[in-house]
Amino acid sequence: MKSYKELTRRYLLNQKKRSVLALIGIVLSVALICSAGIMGESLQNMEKENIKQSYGNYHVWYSGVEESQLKLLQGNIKVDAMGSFIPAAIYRPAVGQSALIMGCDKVLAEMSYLKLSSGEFPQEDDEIAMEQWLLDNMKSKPAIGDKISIEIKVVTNQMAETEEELSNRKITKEFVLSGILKNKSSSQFGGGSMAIVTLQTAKKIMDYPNIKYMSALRFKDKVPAQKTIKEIAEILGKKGKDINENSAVLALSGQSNRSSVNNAILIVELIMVLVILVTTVAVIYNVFHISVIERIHQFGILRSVGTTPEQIRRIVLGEALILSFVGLPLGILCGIVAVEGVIGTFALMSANTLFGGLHIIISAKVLILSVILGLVTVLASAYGPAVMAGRVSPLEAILNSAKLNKDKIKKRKHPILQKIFGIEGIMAYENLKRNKKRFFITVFSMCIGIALFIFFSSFMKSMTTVSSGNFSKNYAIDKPMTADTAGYSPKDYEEVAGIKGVKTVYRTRMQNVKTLLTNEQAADSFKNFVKGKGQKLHSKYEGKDYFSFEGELYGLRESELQLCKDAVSRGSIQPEKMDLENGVLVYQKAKFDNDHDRVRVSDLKVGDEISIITKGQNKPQKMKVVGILDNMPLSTNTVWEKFKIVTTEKVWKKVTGEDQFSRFDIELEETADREAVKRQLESIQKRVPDSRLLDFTEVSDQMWEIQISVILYGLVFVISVIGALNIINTISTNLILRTREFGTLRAVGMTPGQMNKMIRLEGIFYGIIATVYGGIAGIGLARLLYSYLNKLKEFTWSFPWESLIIGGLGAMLIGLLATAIPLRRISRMDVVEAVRAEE
Amino acid sequence: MEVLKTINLTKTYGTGNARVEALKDANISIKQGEFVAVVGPSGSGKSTMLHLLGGLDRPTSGSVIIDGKDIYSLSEKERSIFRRRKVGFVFQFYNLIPVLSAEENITLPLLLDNKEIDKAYIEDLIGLLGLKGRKEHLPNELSGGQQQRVSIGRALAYKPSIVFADEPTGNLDSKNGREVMELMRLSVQKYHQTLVVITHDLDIASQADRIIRIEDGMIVRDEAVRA
Ligand SMILES: Nc1ncnc2c1ncn2[C@@H]1O[C@H](COP(=O)(O)OP(=O)(O)OP(=O)(O)O)[C@@H](O)[C@H]1O
Ligand SMILES: [Mg+2]
Repeated sequence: MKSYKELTRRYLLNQKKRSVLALIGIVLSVALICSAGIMGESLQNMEKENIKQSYGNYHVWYSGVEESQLKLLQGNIKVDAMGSFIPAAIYRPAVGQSALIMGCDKVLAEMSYLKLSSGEFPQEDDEIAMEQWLLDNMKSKPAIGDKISIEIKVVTNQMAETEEELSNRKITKEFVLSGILKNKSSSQFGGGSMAIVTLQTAKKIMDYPNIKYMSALRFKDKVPAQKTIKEIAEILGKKGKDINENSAVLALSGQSNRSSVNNAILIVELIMVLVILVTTVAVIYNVFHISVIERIHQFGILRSVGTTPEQIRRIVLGEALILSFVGLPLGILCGIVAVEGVIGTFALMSANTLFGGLHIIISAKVLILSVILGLVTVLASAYGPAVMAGRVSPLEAILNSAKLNKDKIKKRKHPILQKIFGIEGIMAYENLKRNKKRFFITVFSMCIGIALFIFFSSFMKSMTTVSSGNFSKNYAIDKPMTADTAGYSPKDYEEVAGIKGVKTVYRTRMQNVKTLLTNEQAADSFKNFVKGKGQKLHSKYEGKDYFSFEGELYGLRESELQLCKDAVSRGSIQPEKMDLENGVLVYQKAKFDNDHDRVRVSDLKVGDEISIITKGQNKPQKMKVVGILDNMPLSTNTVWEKFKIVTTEKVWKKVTGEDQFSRFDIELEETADREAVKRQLESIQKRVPDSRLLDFTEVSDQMWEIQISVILYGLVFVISVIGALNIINTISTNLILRTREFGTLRAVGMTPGQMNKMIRLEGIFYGIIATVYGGIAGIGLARLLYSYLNKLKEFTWSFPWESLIIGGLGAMLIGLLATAIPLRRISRMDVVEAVRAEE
Repeated sequence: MEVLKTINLTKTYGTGNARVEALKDANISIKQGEFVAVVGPSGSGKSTMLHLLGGLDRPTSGSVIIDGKDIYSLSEKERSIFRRRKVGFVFQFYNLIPVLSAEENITLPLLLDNKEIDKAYIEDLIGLLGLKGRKEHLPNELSGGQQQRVSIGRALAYKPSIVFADEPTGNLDSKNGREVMELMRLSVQKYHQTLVVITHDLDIASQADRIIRIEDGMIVRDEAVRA
């Protein structure tokens, strides 16, 4: 032995099992930290890429740039890339559809948000690339290389002309299709779309002197973008609307990172890493704490021969350091393998979900950070025990018995425990509580596992509920009825219902109506709100005072009404009766503005009468309340919750005098050709002004749920494994510390079976106690989540019994399994050896 | 009447050079109600024999017959139950269970059996041991002598037919030691039990009915001091 430090290595080897346990703990936590980091960075990067893809990968574009100025821009050292374009013509294939034909150079095409699905960007004269859907609408169904002849209206000066001027410039032009552009949802749904040609072609079509360019610039990394935009604007002599910033991309370059998604990811990640760190600290601390306790006698001897406390601390910390050197690289490796494996598999499973396009980025930054975090955690957790070891007095070596009864034992009676589990139960329970600190640490990591499990399951549940109302299945087209334009006609309904592959169409009629409540009907919370806001929500009708405010009147068919059934807390849905007496269901809560939470508006009861005033009328009409809705089963297109009045179609038509629809929710057959249905819905949506098409297919994709679940529950699983490590550790330690006790128990006649039972119960009790504390924490967290989400949308709080029970059973099982390893040793115990054991 | 008999009881530890014959062909017979002292130099094999007699260990060869049964032909579980009911142990280092009170430590063998506790007997025993005021105390709240008395109580709780004690007074001062020994003898007499005590204390040995002397694992003397 060269130095006392050699002791470190000997101790580690001497306690092989414990060292392995600590090592597993370190590896798991570093793996978790590392994979959380990799995931976070990859997701962030994906977000950035998405933004660049959908907004174009440039910082600014200037309009009205002279040809002579182009060189100036190109030569600027701050500019990474420059591309130019010229709007050349407009192509209108059908009513409500239009595509802008732009001349642009290759650089621009590449940095824009336009993406080729096949072929190439135009390079030769008269070549053209168009969005897929435009081509689909053409009768000839052209392929790449085909000639297409279209009628276009030529624009001249930066699209400044009126419709009338344009119609005088109709020409028919023949192009060669060089490439097909991917459909871009915003251009498609917005009615505007793109086709591109070369700059040369554009100039030729326009045939106009002194054509001006629009030039988009991407700056080099680290160039202060905002400042440079101004500088270049000055050089070009541009001001105001000639300067078009790409604010989404500018935000990305970090100067003003306002992306809420990024922040959310960051917060989630921080919380995860924090949880992981805390659990790691618990395990490593426990391992070292215990290994020090076991060696108090030895440290006493070391001290008595002249080892300083500092040297002893170094011995212990040295052990931690050696373990880290082995554990950190292994942990990093496991983390990388885990992310690559899990996310890689997800990416293969389907391209359309969260991880579909995820490119995994493993940066040195994340790896180094994980190593540092891991190292700091391990050393910090070992520090306390190291200090404790240093404090051991040399006397402990001489006072043989010093070690055993460090534990403070207090006695209580447990008649119930005795009844259920017998003497073994009592002993198991008392054993748990011998050392408060160790008990706490052991239970703690399990608590975290359970709390996370409960929280995550509530989270998943609310995610699925939040996604939409009862009707939202695959697609919907809707239209705010506030607009003056008409809604969808019965003919539109026939058309939607007739699309091949459509299984069910839920149709909604909705009109904003003025709702009148008497003073008695208005809820106190609403009155206070009105008073507090000073809002003028009072009106006089037919000599009476009312609270009046905007509500939504829905008209539904019987089948749709039945879907509201679960939400009705009082009253009932009887369509015939509702038809006869203007019966309505009411949802009595509303949110009036951004600054206030939802308020309860009224205290209506079944049988009450309320008045409403429909569009274009001034006489109130009486409606009879036949049911109270507790939440909103309806899909709506309003930002805020409003007071809702739901009735039958017949009543709706009668009181509004209209026969229109505000929304169709479409459920598809299993076998439906989604894309085909979507295209037909699009054509209806385009025909009706102001209406939009909603696609729930991706949102409600179960894949998404499964993948998130795998990640969240994976985390829970690993944390539970760490918790189990802690229990294994504590119980095996107890075994070693209590060898003599176990021996005595056997000597006085405890059978191996009884001893097994006692130790197993100890493990199970850990699980039960962890469930109690972890359950409280998890339910608390879930409750917080609920109150947060409840501000956005009404939820019914349901106590998470299911996850509590599953979590509890899981914890008990883990506790039980954790005793398996120590039990093996106990069953091999030699009674004589044990009762003679020297301290 | 004979309660315990050994036939060529032998125990060896280790192999080759490290081989130790801790006990060689011991043949003894102990009668009901006898008080036997086992003496001998340190390392001679006294504890080894006691552990074998009480069914704590396994002999290398030979057998131990108690109440006509070869205890090493029993399964581990059966032997545990046998120990619980038929024999009591008193160790030098008390070996009490720190989480159980004095009274619970005493009644532990009964608790392990889920057996209805003979309250009167236990009360009697606790009184006899002078632990009346200490029933609720935990071991770490008791003095060494009190702890040893608790362990005697535990050994006697099941009214076993034989009590084995391995240097029960080794850790106590002479006054406490005498008291403990006295108590053991009294209770054994009262309940007609057999007592086998290992001791270095000649004073104690001289009170025994019989003295067995072991040297180098062999019984070198076995004689009745009193009849
Ligand atoms: N587990 C073991 N492995 C190897 N040798 C052992 C073991 N246990 C006891 N021995 C040896 O057996 C012999 C008898 O030991 P034992 O403990 O029976 O002696 P003892 O008479 O009780 O001594 P003491 O009076 O010091 O308690 C000793 O030489 C001892 O070294
Ligand atoms: Mg001995």
